[in-house]
Amino acid sequence: MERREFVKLCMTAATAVAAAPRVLAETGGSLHTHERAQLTDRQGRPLTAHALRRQETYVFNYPYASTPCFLLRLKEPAPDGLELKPKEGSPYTWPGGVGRDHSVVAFSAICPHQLSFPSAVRSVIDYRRDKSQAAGRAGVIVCCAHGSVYDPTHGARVLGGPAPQPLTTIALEHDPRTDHLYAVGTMGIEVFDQFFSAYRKELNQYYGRGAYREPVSGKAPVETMDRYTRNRIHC
Amino acid sequence: MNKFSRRSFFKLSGITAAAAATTPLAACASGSDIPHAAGITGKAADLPKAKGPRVVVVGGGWSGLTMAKYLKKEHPDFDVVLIEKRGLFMSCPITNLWLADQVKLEFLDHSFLDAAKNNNYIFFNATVIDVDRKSRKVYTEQGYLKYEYLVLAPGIDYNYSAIGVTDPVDVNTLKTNYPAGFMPGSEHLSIKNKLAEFEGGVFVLTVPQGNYRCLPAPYERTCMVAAEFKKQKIKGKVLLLDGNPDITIKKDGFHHAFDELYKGIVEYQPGAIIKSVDVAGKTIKTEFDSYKFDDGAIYPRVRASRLIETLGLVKPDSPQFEANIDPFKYNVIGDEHVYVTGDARPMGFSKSGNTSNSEAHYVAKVIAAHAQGKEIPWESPHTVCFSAVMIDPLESISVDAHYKYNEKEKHFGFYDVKMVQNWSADRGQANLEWARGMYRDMFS
Repeated sequence: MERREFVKLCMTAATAVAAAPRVLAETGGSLHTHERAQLTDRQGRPLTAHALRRQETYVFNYPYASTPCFLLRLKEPAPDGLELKPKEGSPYTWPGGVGRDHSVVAFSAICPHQLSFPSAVRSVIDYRRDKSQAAGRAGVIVCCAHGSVYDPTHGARVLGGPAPQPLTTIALEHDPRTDHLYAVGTMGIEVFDQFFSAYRKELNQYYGRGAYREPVSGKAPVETMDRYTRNRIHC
Repeated sequence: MNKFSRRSFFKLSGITAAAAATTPLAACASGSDIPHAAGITGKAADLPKAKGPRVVVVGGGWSGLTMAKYLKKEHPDFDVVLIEKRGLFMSCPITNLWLADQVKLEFLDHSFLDAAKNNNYIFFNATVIDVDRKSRKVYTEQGYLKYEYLVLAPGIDYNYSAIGVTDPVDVNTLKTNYPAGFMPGSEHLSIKNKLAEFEGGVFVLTVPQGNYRCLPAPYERTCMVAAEFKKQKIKGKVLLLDGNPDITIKKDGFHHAFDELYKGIVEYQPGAIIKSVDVAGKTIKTEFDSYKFDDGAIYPRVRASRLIETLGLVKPDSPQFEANIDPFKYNVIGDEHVYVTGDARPMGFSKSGNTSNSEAHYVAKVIAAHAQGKEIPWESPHTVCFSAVMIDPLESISVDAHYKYNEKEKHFGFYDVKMVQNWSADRGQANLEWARGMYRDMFS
């Protein structure tokens, strides 16, 4: 696989580990590498960035079988180089959007405040292309459980509510030749351990004993939010 | 009570010589007229030895549970013990929804043991009877604990004399037959049973004056009881006697619900200050009127837990017997090793779950900073309060607010208030997820 243009984050699967030092240097030491997974459609066919509908909420599970992430193709390019400072934890530099117009972003969909997340039954956290009453604006990710608001154009930084830190960034790699997308790791503070601890009972029931914490590798199927959850709760 | 003496202990803890006399074997063995209690006060509680500065948190409600978890997170050197007299946690928030069968009892009940296991502190199922602040000891019925820091989060008690009920027989009958339902456990189960058995007539609910536990809750309960009446086709009305001139929070939302959803079922009487209750005659008397009822739940005025008074910590000008603490740092005035949080605080914050939870996040940081010789800036508590007004589907209204200190008037007022008074099913689901998130924060 030849070297690709992208991204401050990119490398192929085979060289991902070797690439880590360079990536770490560029992102302030804040990339947490996970297994590399290509984003695909439900049938496992590679997804192209330009096929994503702008401002539609897509979901895929990464870096574990049970941990959902939002995938968004924003209206505008999302600029790189933004310095994000969680209340507790190290600052990191957000790499911005990927794709030919730098508008594709991904974030863990687990609210770092009190771990609300999209499940098959319902989701109180969602991206809002229209105006959210709670947030007073459009184009934001809102968690209706306790009113946290995140800005996906700027690294999902906190715009309002009790959240102590941005949503965890999912580091994406984009192949400009094929327009394919890959998830390669995370940036910011991970809350997966707390998530597993809080929902162990439900996750074991839903995924089978222990299966919820299997790492996602190879392929990560993407769904629309409407397919992923039965009840999208907005506020 | 800095000076601790055996005498004061017995007086305050209510253990009398008469009680001791019912245990003749122990009395003979020790030769004392008050043998059991004396043995308790002299003995350390049977707990693991402290591995660091011990912080004792009294009260396993929303404040104490959050506090115990976050003290440990903020300063892992702390050895944290949570003392709670109940063996099982039952949430007060969401009980109104449970009364109307929108959640199961399992939704409200949680294990103190899980909270302690998941967050690396000790759960001590005991009752606090006294504190000696000089020697930094907390006394329980199972022996004493030494502390470096003490956090008292004992919650509320009821003040029946404020609604003109003073005879202990009447107070007891009122508590037993028409429980308020704001201190969870048996009170709530009894109210649920009442609803299941009610065959018609007047079901009375009351709203006290002052800063009572959860300002919108009596109105939410009115909606939930009325919804049950509607669903079960019960011929009767819900009479809501409000000691205040009007609904204080989410006023439009509740008024619309009473008028649009429960017309002919809810009768709302504002400005109904209760002067007396004739328990046998099932009649409530206000200044100008009297109201007959068939059943109901009577919410008297609220005061801080009696433990605050027992420990001599009441703020002199507090009409609700709340604690005398620094309003920004929460320590008892003149003692930076004892703190009071949650509904026993004197500040006019909402006495509600989210408020106590967010406050405890902050106070845990205050205490962790103090232990390290530091100070941190004040953070406002955060009130997020959903109220259900409709069932099947569950629909709710909500408020989100912070507080700001008014230097001139020397008190805290609401700040940055976002009120949503048009009910929706989305907000109903958010209402439930709000609670799940809070339980996760305390127990996971």
